Amino acid sequence: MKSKYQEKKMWRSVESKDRAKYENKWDDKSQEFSGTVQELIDKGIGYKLDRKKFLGIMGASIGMAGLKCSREPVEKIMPYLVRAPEAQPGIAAYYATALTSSRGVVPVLVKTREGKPIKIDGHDDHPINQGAMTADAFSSIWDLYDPDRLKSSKIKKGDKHVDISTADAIIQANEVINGGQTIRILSRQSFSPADKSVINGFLRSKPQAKQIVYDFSGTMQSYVEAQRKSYGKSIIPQYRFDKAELILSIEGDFLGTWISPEVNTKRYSNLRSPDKKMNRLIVAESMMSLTGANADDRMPINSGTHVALALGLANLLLPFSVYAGNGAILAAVRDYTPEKTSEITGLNIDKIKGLADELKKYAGNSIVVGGGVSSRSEISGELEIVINLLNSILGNDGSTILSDVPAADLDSLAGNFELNNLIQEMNNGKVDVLILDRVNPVFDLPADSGVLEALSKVKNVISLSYFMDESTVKSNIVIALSHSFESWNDAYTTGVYTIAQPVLRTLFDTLSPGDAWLHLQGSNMSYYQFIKANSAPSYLSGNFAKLWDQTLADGYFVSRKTSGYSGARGFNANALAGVGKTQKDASGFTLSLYESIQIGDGQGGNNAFRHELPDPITKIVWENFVAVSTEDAKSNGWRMGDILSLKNGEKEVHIPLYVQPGIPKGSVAIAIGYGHDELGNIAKGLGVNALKLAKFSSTGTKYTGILVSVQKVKGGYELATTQRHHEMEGRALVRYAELKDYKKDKRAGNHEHKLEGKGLYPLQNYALETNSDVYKWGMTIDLSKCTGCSACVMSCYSENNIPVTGKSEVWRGREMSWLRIDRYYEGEPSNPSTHFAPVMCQHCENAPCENVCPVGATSHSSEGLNDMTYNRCVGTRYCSDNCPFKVRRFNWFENQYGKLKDPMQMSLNPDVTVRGRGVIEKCSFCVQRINEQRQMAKNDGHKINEDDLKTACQQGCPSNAITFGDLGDKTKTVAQLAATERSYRMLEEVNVKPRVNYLTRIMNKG
Amino acid sequence: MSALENVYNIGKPDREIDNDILKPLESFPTKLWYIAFGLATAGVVMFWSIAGYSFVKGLGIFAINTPVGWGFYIINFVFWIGIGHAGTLISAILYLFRQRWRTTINRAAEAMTIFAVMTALTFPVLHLGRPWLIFFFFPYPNERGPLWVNFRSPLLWDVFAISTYFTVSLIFWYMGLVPDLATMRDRLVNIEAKTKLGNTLLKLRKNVVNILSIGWVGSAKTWIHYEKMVLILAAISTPLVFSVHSIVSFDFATSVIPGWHATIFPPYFVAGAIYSGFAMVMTIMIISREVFGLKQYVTLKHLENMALVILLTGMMVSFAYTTEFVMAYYSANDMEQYVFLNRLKGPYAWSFWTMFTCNVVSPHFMWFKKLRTNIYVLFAISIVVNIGMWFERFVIIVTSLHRDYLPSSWDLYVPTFFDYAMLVGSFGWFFFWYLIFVRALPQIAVAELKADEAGDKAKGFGH
Repeated sequence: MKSKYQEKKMWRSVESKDRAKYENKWDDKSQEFSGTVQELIDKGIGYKLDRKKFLGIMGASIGMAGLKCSREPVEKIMPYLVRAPEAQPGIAAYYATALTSSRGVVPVLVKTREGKPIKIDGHDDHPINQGAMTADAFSSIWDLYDPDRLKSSKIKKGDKHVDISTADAIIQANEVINGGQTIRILSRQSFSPADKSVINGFLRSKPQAKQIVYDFSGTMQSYVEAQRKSYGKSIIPQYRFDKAELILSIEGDFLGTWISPEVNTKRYSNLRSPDKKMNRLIVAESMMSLTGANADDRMPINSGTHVALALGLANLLLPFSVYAGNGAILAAVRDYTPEKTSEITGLNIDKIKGLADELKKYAGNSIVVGGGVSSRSEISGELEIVINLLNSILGNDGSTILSDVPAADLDSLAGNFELNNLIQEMNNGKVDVLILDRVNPVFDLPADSGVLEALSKVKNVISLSYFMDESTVKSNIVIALSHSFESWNDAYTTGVYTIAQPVLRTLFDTLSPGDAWLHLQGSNMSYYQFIKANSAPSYLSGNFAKLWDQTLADGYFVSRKTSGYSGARGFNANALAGVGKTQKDASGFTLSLYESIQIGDGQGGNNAFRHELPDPITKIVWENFVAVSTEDAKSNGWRMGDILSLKNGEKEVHIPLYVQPGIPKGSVAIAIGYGHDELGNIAKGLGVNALKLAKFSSTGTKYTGILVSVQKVKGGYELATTQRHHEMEGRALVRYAELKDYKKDKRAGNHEHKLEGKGLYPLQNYALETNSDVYKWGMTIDLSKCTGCSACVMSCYSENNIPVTGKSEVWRGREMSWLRIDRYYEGEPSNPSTHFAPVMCQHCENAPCENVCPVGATSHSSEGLNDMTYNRCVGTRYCSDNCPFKVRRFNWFENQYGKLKDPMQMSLNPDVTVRGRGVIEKCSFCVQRINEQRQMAKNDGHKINEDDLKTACQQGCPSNAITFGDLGDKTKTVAQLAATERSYRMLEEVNVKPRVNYLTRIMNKG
Repeated sequence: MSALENVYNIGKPDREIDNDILKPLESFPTKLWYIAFGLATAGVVMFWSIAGYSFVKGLGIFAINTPVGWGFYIINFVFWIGIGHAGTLISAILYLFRQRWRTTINRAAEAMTIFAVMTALTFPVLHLGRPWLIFFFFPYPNERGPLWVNFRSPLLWDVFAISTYFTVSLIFWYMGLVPDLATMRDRLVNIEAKTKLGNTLLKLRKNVVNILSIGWVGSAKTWIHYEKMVLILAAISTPLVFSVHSIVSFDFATSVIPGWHATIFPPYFVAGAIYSGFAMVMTIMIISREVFGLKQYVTLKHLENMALVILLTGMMVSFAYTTEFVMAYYSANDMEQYVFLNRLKGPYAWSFWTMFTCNVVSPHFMWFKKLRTNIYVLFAISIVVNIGMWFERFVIIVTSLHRDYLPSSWDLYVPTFFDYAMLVGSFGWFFFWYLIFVRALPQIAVAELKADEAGDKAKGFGH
C-alpha cells in the first residue's frame, strides 16, 4: 500500500480509475490514523496524554468534525494555459469588424469578454458610418447565439434531413456539382469584393454554371435598375443628407428601412440643430413610416400613387430646368397636371404647387428620395426613375447626390426578368444543380412566382444557409454557414475597404460562406488567405503587410474619397418609357406592403429580440397586421381586435387589424417579413406572410397599389402593444415649437411655470461646488434629433441583459425594456404630427421610488444615480407604482435562469447582474460603464473624459440625440445642453427633479 | 337608545343563558354547519394551492403589470383590514362610551377582527416578488451594516401598525374570553362522550380549555382586576381603530400618483373601514341569530343600532368621495382632474358606479325605521355595502394606477382566473376560522351578558 502511494508521488489524477486506486489506500484500516491518534484509539482511556497534545488533538478533532466527509466533485476546467497577450480576464477586448449582409455593411466594434462577443457597438472612427447603428444591427449579436441555427450540415435522406459533418457535406456537394450539366447559383447581393471573386472563380471553373443575384426586398434592385436606366450605371450614389436643406421623400423610408438608414440618419441629424442649421423634411407616403413620422410636413397620398406625384412635380418643375426642351421628358410628364395629380394622389392642388415651389427654391440644395418595398410596382424602379429625373431637374445630382465615389456598385443584380427565366428553366427540368447561396426564394418571392413548384423539379438543390428556412428544407444538401462574426470577409462601400474579421471560433460545425465556396471549387485555400491574396491588394495600395494589419486593427481603410461635388449626370429620357401608366383604380382598397424597422425583409425573423422591439410607429410587437385608416375603420365599423380578410383575386389572407392614423382613406398596408413556415422555433407562425398578395411578373414585383377587397371575418384577435394610448392629453411631455417661433423666442414651446415645491425629506446635498471629485451624472435628449428609430432600445437590451418576455406578456403590459420610446400623435387623425420621446429612468434627485421601498432596495448614490440593489429587493412593486414615469420593470416570472436556450447565455454581459424572478429592475445609466471608466480614470489620475464614457443608448443613437455626462462640470457638453433654453425636465411639476433633460423639439414647418 | 339601558332583558336564569349560548359547543354540528365548513375548506384549499403555485411560478399568474403594479391582492388586503375595524370599534370604543348593547355582538365582532386581519395579512406577504425574504421587513440587528429597513416607507409603517393591531386585538379578545372559558371548563366536567375516541377528544378539549382559562375562579377580587385590565386594554385599542387604517391609507396618500396623493385619505379610510366592518358584523350576526337561535340575545334593536352606524359612516364615506372630486376640481391640476374624470367615464367607470350605488345610495334606506328593522333589507344592504367597499378599493387602486402621468404607459388591468379565485378563496379562509370559532368558543360574551342581566343591581356597568 505504501509503495503504491509513493508511486503516485502525491499526484492526484482526475481519472476515475486512478482515483479508485488512490481511495483504496484507506482500505487498510490500520493506516487510517497514524501516530498518536492510532495509539490513542488502541489504548483508549489508558493512554497518557500531556496537556499540549490533548489540546492539539481536541482542536484538530473539532476542526475535522466540521469538514464534510465527501469528496469535491471532479470538474474539468479549461484554463488559459497559454494566455493570449491581449486576453485579460475581466477586461473587455474590442475588435473592429463588420456586419455583412445583403442589406449592406455595418462597421462595428465587437466587445468580447473572455473570448465571447457580448455586445456590438458602432465604430465611431469609421469615416462613413461614424458609429451609426440600427436596431437591427444591434440585435444581430443574438443571431450569432441563436439556438435554432444550423449546428451541422444536413443531407436529405428520404423525406428527412439527417445531420452530417460539414466536411462530408462539401464532398457530397462537390460530387453533385461535378456531375451537373447545368448549374445555377442563386445568390443575394454582396458588398464584398472577395465574395464576388470567389464565386467568379467557381463560375470560371464550371462553364456550365451561371449566377443570378437577386435582392430579397427589391429595394436595391429597383434602385439600381432606375440608376442604370437613367444614368447608365448600376450604382448607389451617396446621398448627402447632411448637405440638403430640403428633403422630399416620396414613399421612401430613408430613416428607417431604405438603403443604409443608419448613415442617412446620422447625416440627416447633422442638420437638425435649430441653433445651427435646420433642414426641412417633407414626406409624401401612404403608410406612416418612420421617416413620415419625423416629417416637418407629411402628406398622405393614396397607396400606389407615388409615381403620379413625382411625375406631377416633374411636370411643374420641368420648364425651369435644363431639361425644359427635352421632348421625350415633356411627353412623359405632360399629362400630370396639378389637377390630375391631385385627383390621383388625393393631395390638395395647392399643396402640390407649393411643394414644387419649395423644391424650386432649394434647387441644387435639396434631395428628392424615394423607393423601397412600399413603392415597388410592376415596372421595376418606376418611382426611382422619376425621382432621378426630379433630382436632375433640380440639379441635386452631383451636388447632394454624389456619384463619383458611389456607396455601392451592384451591376450584377438581377431583376425579375432573369429570375423569371431561372424559374422557367427550373420548371422545364433544365437545371441539374441549383445552389442557393444564402437566399430563401420560397419566402422572399411572391407565391405566384411559382418558385416553390419549380424548386421541386430541380434534381439537386444545394443550400448554403444559416437556418433551416423555407428553401433549405427543399434542398438535398445543406451546408451550414458561420455567422458574420465567425468568418472572414471583406467589403467595399463608399470608397472604404473593410476587413470583417472573425471575433470567435465557430460555435458549431459550420463554414464561412467564402470557405464554403472555395471548397466547392475544390480549393484547399482558406478564405483568409484568399482575401489576403486576391481581394485586399486591389484596395490596400502601398506597404501591403503593414496596411493589412492596420486595416484589421482600424476596421477600415479609406481607398477613395469623394471630392464633395461629382458633376451632374445626364438623364436619359428613354428611362421614362412606360412609367406612370399603371394607376390606381378609383374604387376599393389598395394595399401597400412595407418593411418594418424590426424585421425588415424577414431574414432575421428568428431573433426574439427583434420581435420584442416595439414597432417605432405602431408600438406593436411580435407580429404584423393590416393598417387601415381611421376613416375606413369608422365607416366600416371595424375596431382593433377584428380580423380582416384581404382578397386579391384568388389569393386571400386573414390578418388582424390595426387602426393607424395618417393613412389616407382607401389605403391599407401590411408589413412583409412575417409568416415564416420554417426558419426556427421563434419565427415559425408569427404573423402573416403578406407576399401572398403581391404580384410577380417578369418586369417587376408589385408591392404597392394592389387592389384588394377587404372584409371583416368572424373572430377576434389581440395584438400586443407597448403603448395603448396615443395622445399626450394636453400634458407638456414632448414639448415642441416651430422654427420660426424658436428664432424669435428661444423658450418657444417651453414656457412652464417653475414650481419650487418643498419635499417631506431634505434633498440630497451633492456639494458640487465644494467637492470636485463628485460627479453629477445626467443626460440630455435632443428631441429635435431623435427620430425614434429604436437603435438605443436594442443597444440597451444587449448591454444590460434585459430579457425577452414574449407576446402574451407584452400584452399584459410586462415588457422588460429599460428604455422605451414614447410615441404621441397630435392633431387630426387623418394626418397627425408624431412625436417621439425616449424615456428611461430619470434618476430623479427627489426620487419618489426611494422613499417608499420598505427595505431600502433602491437608493441614491452620491453622484445622483438612482441605484437598484437587486439582492435587497423583495418585490413589493411600490416603487414602480410610485414612479411617475413608470420605467421600473418587474420580473413577473423567471426570465433568464434556466430559460435561455444554449448558447444564448453566452450573450450575457458579465458586468451586469442577471436578475431573477421577483425583483424590480430599471435603467442604471449604465453604472457598470461609469464604474469601469472611473477606475480607469483614477488609475491615470484624472477625472473621466466625456468621450470615454458613453451609455449604451448614447452609443447606439445614430442621430447623436443623447448626451450623457457630468452635469456639475460646466465645460461638459451635457451641462451646456442642459443649460440651454430648450432644456426641460419631464413632469417637472411633480417636483421629482429628474436628471434627464429633454430639449424641445423644433420643427421646420417652413 | 339609552346608553345604560339593557336592550334585551332576557329574563332567564344564568344557567339557561349558558345553555342557550354554549349549546353549539356542547352538541354535534348540524348538517348546515358541515356544508358551510366544507365549502369554506374548499376555499382554503383553493386559496393556498394558488398561493403555492404563485410561490413556485411567480406573480405573473395574476393580472398585475406595469403600470398597475398592485391589483386584487392589495384590494383584498385593504378590504379585509377594513372589515376588521368594526370589532375593535365595538369592543373598545363602544365599551368606553358605555354602549351596553354591544355586549352580545362584541365577541363575534372581535373574532371577526382577528380572522379578517389573518386573512388580510396573507395578501401583502404572498404579494411579494420574493416572499421568502419577508424577514427583510423586520428591523432586527443584523450583519448587513447600515442596510436596514427604510423607516420612510409607509409599507414599513404598515408592518408595525398591523402587527400591533393584531397583537392587541388578540390579547383583548382572549382576555375577554377567560371568564367564558372558565364557564366552559366548569360545564365540561359534566359531559361524557359515548365512544372511546370521543372520550379521548373530550379529554383533550377539557385540558385545552382548562389551560386557556388560566385558573379563573371568579372571585370578586379577580373581577376587580379583570375589569381594570379590560378598561386599560380598551384604552390601548381605541387609538388603534384610527391608526391602522390611517396608516394603510398612507400607502396611497404619501405617494405622488394622482388619485392617491390626497390628505383626506386617513379619515376617509377609517370611516370606510368602520362602514364595511359593521356591514360584515351585521351579515354574520343575522346569520348567527337565525341559525343558532340567538334572536333573544341579538335583537332587532341591535341590528337597528348597527344600521344607524352604517348610515352614519356611509354618509361620511360619501362626503369623502365628494371632497375628492371637489378637491380635484379646485386643484387646477389637470393630472388630478383627469384621474377623477377617468373614474367617472373611463374604462373602469363601471367599477366606480358600482361603488357609488352600493356605498352612497344604499345606506340611505336606513333612514326609514320600517326598512332598518326589516331583517331581509338589512341583510341585503349589509352585503351590498361590502361589495361597494371592495369596489371602492378597486377604484382607488386600479383606476389611479392604470392611467397616471405619462399616457404612453397607460394600460388596462384584466384580472385572471387566479385573481378571482384568490378573492373567493379569501372568504373561504375567513369563514373557515369563523366556523371553527362558532363551534369552539361562545359567540356571545356570556359573562358580560350575565352581568348585564344582573342589571343595575350590580354596581356600575360593563362586564
